[in-house]
Amino acid sequence: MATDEVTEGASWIGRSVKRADGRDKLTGRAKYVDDYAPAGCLHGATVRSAKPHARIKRIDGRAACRVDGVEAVLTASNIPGTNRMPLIINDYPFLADGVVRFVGEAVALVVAETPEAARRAAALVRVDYEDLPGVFDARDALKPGAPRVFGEDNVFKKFRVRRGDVEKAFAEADVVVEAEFETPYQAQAYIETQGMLAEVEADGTVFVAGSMQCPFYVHDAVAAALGVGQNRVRIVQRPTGGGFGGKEDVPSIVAVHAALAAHVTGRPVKFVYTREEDFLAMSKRHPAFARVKYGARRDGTITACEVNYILDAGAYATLSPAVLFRGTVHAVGPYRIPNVAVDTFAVATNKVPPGAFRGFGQPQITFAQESLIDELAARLGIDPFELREKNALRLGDETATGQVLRESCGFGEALAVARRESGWAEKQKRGAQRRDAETQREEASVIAPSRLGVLALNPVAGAGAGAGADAGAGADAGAGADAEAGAGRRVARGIGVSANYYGVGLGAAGKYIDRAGAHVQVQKDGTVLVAVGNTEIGQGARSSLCQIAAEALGAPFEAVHLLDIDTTRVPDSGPTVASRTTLMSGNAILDAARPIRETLVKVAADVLRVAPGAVMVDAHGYRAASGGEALTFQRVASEAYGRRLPVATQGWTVAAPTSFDENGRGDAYVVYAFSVNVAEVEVDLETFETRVVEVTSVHDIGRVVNPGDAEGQVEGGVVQGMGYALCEEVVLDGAAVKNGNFTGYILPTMADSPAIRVRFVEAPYSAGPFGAKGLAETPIVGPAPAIANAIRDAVGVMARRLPITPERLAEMVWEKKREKKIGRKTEDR
Amino acid sequence: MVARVRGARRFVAGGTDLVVKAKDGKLAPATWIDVAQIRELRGISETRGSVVIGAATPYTEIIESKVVRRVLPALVEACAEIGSVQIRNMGTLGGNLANASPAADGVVPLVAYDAEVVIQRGARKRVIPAVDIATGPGRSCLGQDELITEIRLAKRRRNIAAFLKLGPRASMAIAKVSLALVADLRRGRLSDVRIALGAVAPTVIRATHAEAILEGNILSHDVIARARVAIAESDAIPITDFRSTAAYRRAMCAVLLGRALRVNSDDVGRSGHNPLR
Ligand SMILES: Cc1cc2nc3c(=O)[nH]c(=O)nc-3n(C[C@H](O)[C@H](O)[C@H](O)COP(=O)(O)OP(=O)(O)OC[C@H]3O[C@@H](n4cnc5c(N)ncnc54)[C@H](O)[C@@H]3O)c2cc1C
Repeated sequence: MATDEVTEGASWIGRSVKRADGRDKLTGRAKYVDDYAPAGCLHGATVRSAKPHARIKRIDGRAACRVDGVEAVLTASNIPGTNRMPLIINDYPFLADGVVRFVGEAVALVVAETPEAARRAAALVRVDYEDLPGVFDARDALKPGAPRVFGEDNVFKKFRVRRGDVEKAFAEADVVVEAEFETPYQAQAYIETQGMLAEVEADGTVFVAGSMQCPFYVHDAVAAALGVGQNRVRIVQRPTGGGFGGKEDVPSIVAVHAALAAHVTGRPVKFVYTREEDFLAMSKRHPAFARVKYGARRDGTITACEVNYILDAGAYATLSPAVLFRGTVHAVGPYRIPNVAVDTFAVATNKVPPGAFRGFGQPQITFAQESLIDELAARLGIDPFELREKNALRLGDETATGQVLRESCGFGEALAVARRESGWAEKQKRGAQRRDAETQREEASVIAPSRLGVLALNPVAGAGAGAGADAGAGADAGAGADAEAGAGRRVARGIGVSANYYGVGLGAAGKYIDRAGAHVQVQKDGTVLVAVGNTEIGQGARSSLCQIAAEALGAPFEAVHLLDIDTTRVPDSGPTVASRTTLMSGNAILDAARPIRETLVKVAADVLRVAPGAVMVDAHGYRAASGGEALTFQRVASEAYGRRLPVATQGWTVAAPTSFDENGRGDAYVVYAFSVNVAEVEVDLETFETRVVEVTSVHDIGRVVNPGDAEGQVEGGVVQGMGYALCEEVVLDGAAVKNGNFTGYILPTMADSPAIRVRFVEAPYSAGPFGAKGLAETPIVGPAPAIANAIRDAVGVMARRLPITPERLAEMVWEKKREKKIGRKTEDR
Repeated sequence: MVARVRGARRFVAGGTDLVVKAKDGKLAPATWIDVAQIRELRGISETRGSVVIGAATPYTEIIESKVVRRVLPALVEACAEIGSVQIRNMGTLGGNLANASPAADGVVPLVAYDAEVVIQRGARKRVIPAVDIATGPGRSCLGQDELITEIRLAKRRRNIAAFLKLGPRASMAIAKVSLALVADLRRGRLSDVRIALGAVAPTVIRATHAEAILEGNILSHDVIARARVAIAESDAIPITDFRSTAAYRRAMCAVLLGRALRVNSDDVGRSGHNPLR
């Protein structure tokens, strides 16, 4: 149905309805998996590898079995079915069989009457290992002769994109910039750790409920591991305390462990991870290395881009091929570039396997590529915003893969809105003036004391006590500072922009599973049940999908109830990832609702005594186009029941075709969302702490179904992206996670969060429900490079590594100062 | 009473360190003796020459205390920087001292104020300077069953007091470097200078080299510059760990010292008195 059927103000689309699950979550009434404790429930604990790479010689569970309350100790040999997680490359064993490949890998399970007994016993399981050589850096793993973790060359997957002739283009370019970048493991840091509860029902059906994003992945895994038919496995998602990708693939492991233990013991078994265990063994964002090179003409036209992008994929493939695909497609940025060469690799190492994390392979490469765009702008002497505007993809342009943007490209408008709303022009001018003044001052002050007193004290600089006289007391007002920030702090302000696009849905890498089903059933009293295969994981899917159903049926939003997800109620709808839920489940609901609506229109026409074509449907119900009272949805539903008409239907949808050949040519995704982020920062010129003052985040996500929830998504993404930029990093001590809890892993708090200005640009997508595209992931992609560029604007250094901690920033600025000093000295001679 | 508890035993006050360690499995099983409700260990009192803070007084109470705000502003600033509201409602200086973390925020101003810690075991009492409680990271001079009962702080005429902390984020942060400075500034000259540093040595330490340079001297750029070098190069002995680097920590000791002097001397210079008093 077309949107224009709906009268002004009478639509459920574009309304910030209250979240249906909000109250329960806020008041603590929502029941998460750990809140369930069926009678006789056992508790599981996992024995994990202490070795990064080793052969298992023996597992001895005798001491563990003697612990009071221990019911069983299980190893790979207890798995009746296939001991491999079914995903893309089926290499990840649910329990190590013969070899462990990372510290934290599950080796055995202990189930006991209490979680404490299970944990105590797990510590007593003795595993004898024979060490194998390990490899801990993806670049090392690619070298010939490196210890082998996977296949012949440690490469899980590689892609290439070729377009035009990069060599020629670089040779002809007026300006070429190139740099290497590095990004860390980032933890999803969902508030609820992994947890599953399994039970074998009276009829033998294996029932698993817990915290998850992708019930059908869990479904596949449990059926495969237990060797039972998929029709004897029932997976239910409990309210899920966040996922961000971390509940995509690895919950399958937890679920299989619980199901296996329930299958062996015949009792319900619950596994709930501690935070430390979750950090140690669960998925994260891939650490990455990228070398990026741009070539441009003097007028700012970008002519070439070359990218070499390596994902450190850890010990098992998980979703890495798909993560790599997304990074590959978006590697050159949202620009019109005729000559492109992209080579990407997902590489095996003996470390905890990363998997899905919001952004899925894009934040890493976008940080690299968007930072380098600012370097290019600086080299060209062009405003960074202007350079982006000049090269931005527009309707009719081809992406790096040669995909023509035929519709729904609000990028140009997003750039304009971001420029205007962020006050870019004035702020950028202010910065430029300051920098000019600074350069002059620096030139005039070769012997004058440095304004950064700390420089003289940097022990690494080798400047000892003798240079101390150089250390100004700080009484001078801070020549380079924009502002006194109180408490004697001197700060420099900076502003930075980044732009990104984001392919909505699974794209060509996941096209074979890019479908979704829905079941819609109108009840006699005019209430509606909707069942879909995609999950609510805090992103607000429940509200938007109910809004779509209400709009499609002409039903009140309050009358629509979305069932908790249960794999026995709806067909496999693929994963809840890739910002695809509004699009895919939304379309499946529309497909299911269409015949019901047609039926109801006929009924209403009959009651109203008009032709079906003369019936109008909106949020208030069904009425004659000519005017008069509307029939409530309830009335029409009841009339339909009285006439024994079908008002329960199945819907189905399949994503539009996508493609990607061996040279990276094709329509990689069905459609793209576009984002522009502008960040303003304050860098403390003595401590090099960065405070993000304000972020303007503008997104073209097609039609916005629920503006309030959408804004929330963006705000969350901005803060998460800021954490990625400034403080979040899972530190590995060679092989093992070193800061695996919330004391050591630094997440931003509310006190760190900036003012966030969210704006939407709506370029409708004709194949999306009411014109919607997708939102969830794109907000996290842009903030990190925007912040890095703002820091560059403030203190004049380009960060090549995330997070940009005060320590790293201080080193960079100190290094630059040392170079300048040396430079001056040589000039003096 | 303590002696009646058989076997291994431990005191618990706010539990904000102990519970975390217990959950980590880092503690041997023991009977926990709750000292937070002992009346003698709670509250703040004032005599003519000193302020006495009960070892189990929660931070929130210290922060809200009129007398502490008036006499010991650097302690108020430090307590206000600890954890979150919830932590400050539970956590205590007794626990902060006994836990012996080199990054203990509460201990840093106690050291700068020359606080004395009263320790009791049965009827036996001893008084130890705050700086000597910790003997290494997580190690203290407290013997079995020794209870910290109170902390005594002498009232002295000083118009400069500051506590400054650098952490990895704006709140809920473990210090990378912290510094407390108290001194008296009259006609440009500093006296009675005490500087304490957190997180740059195995325990909270006094910055004696920097103190010596500042003591009795006019607060000139040159003096400050020399003190900054001394604190970074001679006083601080930091390590590199995943929280920060030795180089950064060293440099930041100088920054915080400069900042502490700058803020205070500016204020003193402008209005003739320390606004914190
Ligand atoms: C989330 C979080 C944030 C935190 N943030 C900070 C921070 O910013 N800065 C900071 O310094 N600390 C911080 N801490 C650590 C902690 O809150 C402080 O060290 C606090 O002062 C400990 O006091 P407590 O009363 O809770 O000690 P407890 O946990 O009760 O005890 C700690 C230790 O002291 C012993 N003990 C307690 N009282 C006495 C006594 N009277 N006599 C003898 N021994 C005693 C106990 O046996 C135990 O060994 C934080 C902790 C958490 C959990």
